[in-house]
Amino acid sequence: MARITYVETNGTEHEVDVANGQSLMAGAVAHMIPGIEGDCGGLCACATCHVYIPDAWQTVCGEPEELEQNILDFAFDVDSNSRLCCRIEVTDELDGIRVLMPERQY
Amino acid sequence: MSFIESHAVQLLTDLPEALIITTASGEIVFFNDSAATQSGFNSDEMLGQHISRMLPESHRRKVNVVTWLERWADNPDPEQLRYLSLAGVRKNGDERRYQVRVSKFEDKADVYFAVVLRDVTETQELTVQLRHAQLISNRIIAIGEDAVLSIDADFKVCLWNKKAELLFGYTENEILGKSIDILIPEAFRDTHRQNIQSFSTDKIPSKYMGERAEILGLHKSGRMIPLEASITKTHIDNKLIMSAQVRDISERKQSLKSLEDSEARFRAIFDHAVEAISLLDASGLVIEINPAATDMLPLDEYVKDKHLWELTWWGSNDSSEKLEAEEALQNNVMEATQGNLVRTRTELSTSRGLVQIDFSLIPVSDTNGEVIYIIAEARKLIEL
Ligand code: FES
Repeated sequence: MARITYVETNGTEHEVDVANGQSLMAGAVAHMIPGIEGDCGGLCACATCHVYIPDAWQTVCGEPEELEQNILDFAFDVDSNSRLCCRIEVTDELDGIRVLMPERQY
Repeated sequence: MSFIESHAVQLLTDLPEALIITTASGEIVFFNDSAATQSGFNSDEMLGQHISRMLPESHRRKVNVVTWLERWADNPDPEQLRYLSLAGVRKNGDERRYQVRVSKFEDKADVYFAVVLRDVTETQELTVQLRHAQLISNRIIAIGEDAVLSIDADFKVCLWNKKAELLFGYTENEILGKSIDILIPEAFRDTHRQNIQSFSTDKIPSKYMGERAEILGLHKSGRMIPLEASITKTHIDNKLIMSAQVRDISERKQSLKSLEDSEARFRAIFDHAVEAISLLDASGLVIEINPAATDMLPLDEYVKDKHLWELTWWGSNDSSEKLEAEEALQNNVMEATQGNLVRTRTELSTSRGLVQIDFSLIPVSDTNGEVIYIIAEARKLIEL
């Protein structure tokens, strides 16, 4: 289990506990956090679970695979911190992470 | 077949789907009527143009249209094609969203993409609106003061909010898909099921707390919880869902009980006191009068909602003396209204004649020091 803080663009912070093995996207959806949609349910096929991972957490989160990189083309305002959070599995190591949301997912 | 071949161009032109054929680099070589209707551009304007005229690049998204047409032509992924849409623009500047299907064909050395575009702007907007409306109601349900839960036609739990978790002790993961029976003490399960069953088929869509009898719930730990519930049902597409807002009334029952106990204790003193006592409001109106008082002063009329000094038994039988006594009493009550304790000796005319009494007016104040009640106490001294 890890305590995750999802930060909306307006600054609202949602601090929630997400079980290991769940994706960051599923954790956000289960806690009804606005700003992460997850339309495809985690198939890496919709680009509506775009988030920014702070530099300090990049290593823990790993590198995006090619499919994710491609699908990120459809997300808005992508930068080098961008990830599709259905591709990030929660582990104890993610405890304390702050995940920032983009302005829009559609 | 030869018939189709000879009409192929016409068929594609008239196709009810927007069809655009481009070269491998995205130059438009065919633009059918539906594409013209959908985009506002006509075929003459678009032939020879790059497809990005209609599906422009955006500085906010990296999508390169030609790259994706090629990807999907080589390897159409049904999931991606279902969820991803390309941003388009109509001739009048309106932004649109298009769902795309692509196939690739070759003519000699040249490669072409046949692109079918479906305008999904409205559908997508509607879906997003619904999704957001749902998010809002889900968040409201989640923070609700009452436990909220739903069951399906098989009585299996399919919705469970945080308060339900606190009330019954089961997490959402533990309870979803389980029978509602586990929330009801065994002895009441059959009756509870019958009640739900009959609610599911009767004409009433909802029943409210207060209209329904109190029920007993069962906490995960085995503890019984007195509950009140409002229930509602939705029967959509042959799918029955029954939902309930459930409230733990143990605290309310407890406070009601304490209130009743305290009232009983007060009654015991008030009703059995030897002294005549009357409870007045701050203006001197009689709220309650105890049996000792009615016994001492056989009352010939209803005394509640009258000022103490207006009661006919006050004062002697002589009318001028009576008036005087009434005035004196009114002044005394006013004195008590100011927060002062008043003690006098006075005479009362009763059916048994004049009685001399020791009479007190005791002001009772609230926490702000304001007088809210006056207690009038009378002790018989001598029957004259
Ligand atoms: S949920 Fe669809 S891409 Fe992540």
